[in-house]
Amino acid sequence: MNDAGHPSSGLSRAVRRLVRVRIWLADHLRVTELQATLIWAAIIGFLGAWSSIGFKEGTEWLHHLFTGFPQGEQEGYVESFQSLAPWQRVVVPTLGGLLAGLTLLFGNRFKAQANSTDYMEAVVVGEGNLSTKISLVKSVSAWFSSASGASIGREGPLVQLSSLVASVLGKRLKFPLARKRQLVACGAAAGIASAYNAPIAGAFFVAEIVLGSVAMEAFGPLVISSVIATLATRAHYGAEAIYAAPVFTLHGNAELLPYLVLGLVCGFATPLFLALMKAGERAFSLVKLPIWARLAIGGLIVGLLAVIHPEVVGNGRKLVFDVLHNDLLHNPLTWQMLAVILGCKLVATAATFGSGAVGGVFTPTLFTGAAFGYLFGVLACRLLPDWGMQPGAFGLIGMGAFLAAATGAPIMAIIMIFELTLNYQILMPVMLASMVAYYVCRSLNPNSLYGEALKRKGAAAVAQHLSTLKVGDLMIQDSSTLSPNATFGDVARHFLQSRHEFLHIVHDGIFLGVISLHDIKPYLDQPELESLLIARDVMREDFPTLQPGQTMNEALDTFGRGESERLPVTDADRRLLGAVSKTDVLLFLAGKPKRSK
Amino acid sequence: MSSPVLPPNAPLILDLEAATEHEAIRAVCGLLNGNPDVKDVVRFTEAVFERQKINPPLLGSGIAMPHARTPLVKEVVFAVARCVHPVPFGDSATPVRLIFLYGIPPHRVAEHLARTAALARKLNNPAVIKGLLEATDAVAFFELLS
Repeated sequence: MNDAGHPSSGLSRAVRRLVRVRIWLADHLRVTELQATLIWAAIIGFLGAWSSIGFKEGTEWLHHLFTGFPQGEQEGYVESFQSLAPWQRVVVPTLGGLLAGLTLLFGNRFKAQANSTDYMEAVVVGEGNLSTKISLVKSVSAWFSSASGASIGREGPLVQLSSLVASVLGKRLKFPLARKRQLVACGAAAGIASAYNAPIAGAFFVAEIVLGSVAMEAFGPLVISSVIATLATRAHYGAEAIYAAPVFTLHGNAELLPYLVLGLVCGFATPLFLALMKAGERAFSLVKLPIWARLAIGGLIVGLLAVIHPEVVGNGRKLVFDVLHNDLLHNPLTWQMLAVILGCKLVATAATFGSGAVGGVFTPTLFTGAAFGYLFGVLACRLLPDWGMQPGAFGLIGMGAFLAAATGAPIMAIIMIFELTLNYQILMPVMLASMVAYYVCRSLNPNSLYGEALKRKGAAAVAQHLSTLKVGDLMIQDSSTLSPNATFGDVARHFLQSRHEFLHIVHDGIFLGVISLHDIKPYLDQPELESLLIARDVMREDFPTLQPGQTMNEALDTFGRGESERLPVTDADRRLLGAVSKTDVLLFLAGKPKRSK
Repeated sequence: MSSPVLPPNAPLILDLEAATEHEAIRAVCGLLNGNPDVKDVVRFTEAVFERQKINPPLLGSGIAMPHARTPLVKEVVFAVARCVHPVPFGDSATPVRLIFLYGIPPHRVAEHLARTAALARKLNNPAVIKGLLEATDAVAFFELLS
């Protein structure tokens, strides 16, 4: 083809090729929304892991400060408390509780306005914005609690911190709402993954518990974030399984039967565990004490128990390890000893959790399951001595079954046990026991450990949004108004063009009342009414109105008393300012942007 | 004397002599004097005039349906008149022979619509109008509306 006369004839062949390549690259290498989310998920996984490492290291340092126990002895809280005098065992958790409580008291000054205070709330009902101040206050409080031996898991603050990193990034870079929420979820997955060295379980934790879905669109970024977080954590701490257990061997298919029974028993026992945690909360709410006093009392209870059984302190990780290895503080484990420690640990966890300490009950749940499974295993081994089973194996299976039932996330529990132990043989019995425990527990108690908290937080977030949001914030201009002197024909025509069920009647800017479509609908086929009736004749004056300064809570009460999906907003002189619709309130609560005015 | 479209005991005058709209309406309102459901006939009449000023309700075929939604009536009240000579109503001086006047309490929106629609439907029939104009007494008049 001759280049002469062609529009691009001024360009050489090489330049035209380059332009074509550039266009092809631009078309094929354009970063899509999903690709951008995946890239950010990786960045958040990395940053989330380092926030977790920072928290863990900070906690070890503070624990050293509290107890004088050498730093670097990972999770050696039980040993460090053993080395303390009895009075110190009481003072350290009490002081830690007091400091944690004072931190929360100080933090109460920061009232979250548009931002959420919890990652679950931010992902599920919020706008993906976590309050930085409140998140830091909660983390500092958890830092004091964890470092002083409170019987509570660290996964709470770890997840909160890594979610906060994601939220801050999302806010700074002005990400769209959906991506902000997704990335906060990625932060949470990174937190769990780095806390337990469990990348798959980290992703499933958020997918099953927080998002309630394992759809690829949401799950992919969670996996990326978890994997990167785990790699970063392993680079710092090493790649060992957290609960490296003795080799688990399944001797035959019949052995699955006792594990199935264990699943059943765990299914019945988990609601009791959940009830105990709630009882702890109720007991502390009965004594009307300030937050600092409650947390100090929670610490005191743990301290008093630690005088006799220092095993109760900390998140219980060491205890899980001891149960699985049939070795309690370098002494052979007896079932009587374990039963007593389990009882004390449950009281300590209920006291810490009930006092309002910030943290998680994930690791305490693992220990409860492990101890419960071990005790069941002792009984099973006595009844079936020829089967060659080990109580420690039941501890492992019990851990998975209890976790599945308590969290309401059986897939996560199965994968978590596999990742914690890195033992493939364990998968089948864990799957069986976990699913059985899950279904039995759900049939007895539909609320899981996180489900109830999420429900409460969701309800609280909605209530907070409704109490801070003003009618004026959601008010839009009212385009469906009519003069009181408009003919019946005008009214009918207006309804034809409007999607509303009520027309607002306004004279000289003053709101007079409404015409209900329901009232006039039966007469729309009577053209003779056009010359007989005007809007004023068929207008309802007793229609509720809103003022711009009213809260959305009050507005919803008004909506609830009437049948309208839209209410007029007036000033004190009944001058019409605009209208608010229920749809806009719902869209706001769902985190969707307000419709254009 | 009762009919489904008009309440029982609606007062009727078959030979109203009036020269103007005002005179005719005042005379029909006067039929409600002593009705316990009308709190103040004079003020009620003013309310009807107010409504007339906005848009006089004329059905056509020489029929006017003046009305007022007002707290001055406790119940729906009707008064009916047949004019001896056509009376000019409204700016267009529409000649009116039959006047169906009514008052409705403010909260009875649905009833207002139902009554107006029922009466308009009935009066849409030329045979009924002819009968009303020729009726010799109240019984015959109301029977046509039943």
